[in-house]
Amino acid sequence: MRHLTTEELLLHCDGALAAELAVHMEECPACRDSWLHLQTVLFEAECALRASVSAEPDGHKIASHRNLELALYPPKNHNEFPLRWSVVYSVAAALTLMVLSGYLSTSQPPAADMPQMAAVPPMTAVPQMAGVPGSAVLEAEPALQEAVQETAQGVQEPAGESEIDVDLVAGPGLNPPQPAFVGDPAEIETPANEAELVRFELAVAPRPQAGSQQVAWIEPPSVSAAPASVPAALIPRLPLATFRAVVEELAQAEPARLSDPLAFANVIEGYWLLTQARVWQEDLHPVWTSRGLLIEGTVEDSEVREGVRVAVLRQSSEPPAFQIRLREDLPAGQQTSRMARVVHTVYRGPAGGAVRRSLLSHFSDAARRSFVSPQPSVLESELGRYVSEVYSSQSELLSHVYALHRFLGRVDADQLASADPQTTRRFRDLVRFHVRALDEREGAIYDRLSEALPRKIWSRRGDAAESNETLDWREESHGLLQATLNLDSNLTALFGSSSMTVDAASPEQSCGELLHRIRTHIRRIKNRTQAL
Amino acid sequence: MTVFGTANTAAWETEELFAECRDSLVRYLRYHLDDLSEAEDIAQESFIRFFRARTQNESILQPRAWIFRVAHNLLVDQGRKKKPELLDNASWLKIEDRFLSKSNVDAKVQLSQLPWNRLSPMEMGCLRLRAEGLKFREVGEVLGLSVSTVVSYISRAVKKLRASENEGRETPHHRRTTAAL
Repeated sequence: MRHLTTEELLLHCDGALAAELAVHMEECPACRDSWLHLQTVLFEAECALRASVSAEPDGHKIASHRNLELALYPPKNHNEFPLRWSVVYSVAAALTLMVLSGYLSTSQPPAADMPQMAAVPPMTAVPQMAGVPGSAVLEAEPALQEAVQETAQGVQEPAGESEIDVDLVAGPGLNPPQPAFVGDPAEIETPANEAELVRFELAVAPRPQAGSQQVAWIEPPSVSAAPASVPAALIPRLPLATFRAVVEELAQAEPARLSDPLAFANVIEGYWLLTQARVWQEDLHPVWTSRGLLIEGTVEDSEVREGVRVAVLRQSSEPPAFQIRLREDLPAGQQTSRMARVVHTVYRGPAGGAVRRSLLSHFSDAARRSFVSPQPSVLESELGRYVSEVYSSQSELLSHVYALHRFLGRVDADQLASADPQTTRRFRDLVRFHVRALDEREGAIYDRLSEALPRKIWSRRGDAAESNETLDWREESHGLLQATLNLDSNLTALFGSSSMTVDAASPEQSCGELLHRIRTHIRRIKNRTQAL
Repeated sequence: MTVFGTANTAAWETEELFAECRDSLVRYLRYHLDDLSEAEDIAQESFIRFFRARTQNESILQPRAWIFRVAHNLLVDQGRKKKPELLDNASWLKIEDRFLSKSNVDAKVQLSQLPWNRLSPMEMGCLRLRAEGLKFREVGEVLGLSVSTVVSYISRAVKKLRASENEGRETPHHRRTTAAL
């Protein structure tokens, strides 16, 4: 077979070379030498180009980032009067004026329609009403009756209806009643058999006696702190025995699903709030109660708790309640010194582990290609940096997977299908946020492994059975969590000082297979999210 | 809630992109601009355009290539207004002169050994983007070229650089590797 051209060698730098040419590349020493030399020339040119630009002044990047933040997050003016409220206030003021002026009252027609009102004398209350104890009967003065009767004479009425009798009865506790009829008699439709009283009463519910009303508040939900070992699982660098137990416990600790539509929408809102406030990595979860949204969980110390409170309140228009406890306040059985926030964990063990020799050989070759003397201290620091990068990516991968699992584990497919558009959009954005980060971290781990380690560790043989695609969010997130935890266990064994033996040929222990599973789960979750 | 989801997601993505490629973008702009503040302004405008595009749900498959392309276009627009010498050897010589006046001896030696004058403007453009960590596909996106064209340009540039290297220092090692090619 012919040797590779310069273009093909360049494509190999980006990993875009065809498979058969890549195989030739691995087998042919001449092509490998050519590639190394090409890389050296290219690297030298790129370094020279980068060095041709002088360094920025100190603090310039920070100022630049501050300017960008001002553009992305414009400061909110809390004193500003919202435009939409002016409309609401106007309508409310108009309605109030109309009610006060009596325009909306059906019992009092406009003054233009009742010319006789000017001559009507005031009504007087007569404290006498048969059958209604304590009621007051209002009768018109004789002059009024005459005026009404005179007006009524011009109207054709049925026989026996020559006299219109309109009496107003005020019930207990009512305001002074208004006359139901004083306008044009032609507009009055009085049934033939109803010549007696027209009663006005309000349908007011009886006022309960003091002390008989039941209190509507419920007791605040009890704060159930996370199991001691679950947050510890988020720190990937634990002794293996502890880690195995944590995997099993975490797999059993399934969050309860949300079956109530209102609770579903509000809990999604709560997760959205935590993510907006950038505290999603904390051991916190939203709960919907009859009093509103409650953020509960545990944090490391009071400083973190205050930070969480401030960050969440800054993002929310309707402040939620908080039930956040310190981990040191937990009962003795649940306390652990290993609980910590899921962040980049600093690796302190011996770097390299089982693959130390392979990594040192790789970095030694790289140093020689760059015409640098492979000093042991340089190689060690390079090794430490490599392992730290892998662990950092793995820690972030695990924290996103765990957050996604806590979130998706509570999702009920039926509730999601019938959710309102805003809730669906929030849900989609939340999943996209985590999936995007997972994509990047998984790719970073794969890149680092394939850069320096033997192929058998990071490549996938493809003979392992694919897991079936399920329609359940919880199943997918659970599978993703299991694969990530197994990958973490393998990486700990490979790079750490673990005594565990990793069988690269086993699908359960091959990093390539586990990375493939993670990719598969990410792809399925992404596809389902896009279908929403 | 007063903050809309799309805007917040876009802000996150913009911040991620800023952390990832702000330094290389400013450096790329400073290849062509003497003024740091001008380069900073163009970079800032590029990130804000990215934020706006993502807020409007515009699909951006390769954010890094997208931001470099926008910055490149802004650079060209600014160049049309000011009519500077963009992407030509004269401007590169100017940069080289500026660089040679520094006290960084090692880098000076490295740069002076490479025959930058022999490279064409397009070869230099591709190489500069490559130096900022862009893949060939992304370089093609920025400059509006196909991957094979980009690879050809960089291949020619590498050959020219290698040829001069062989002229300068003929050693058995270099003769062997050149023969292998």
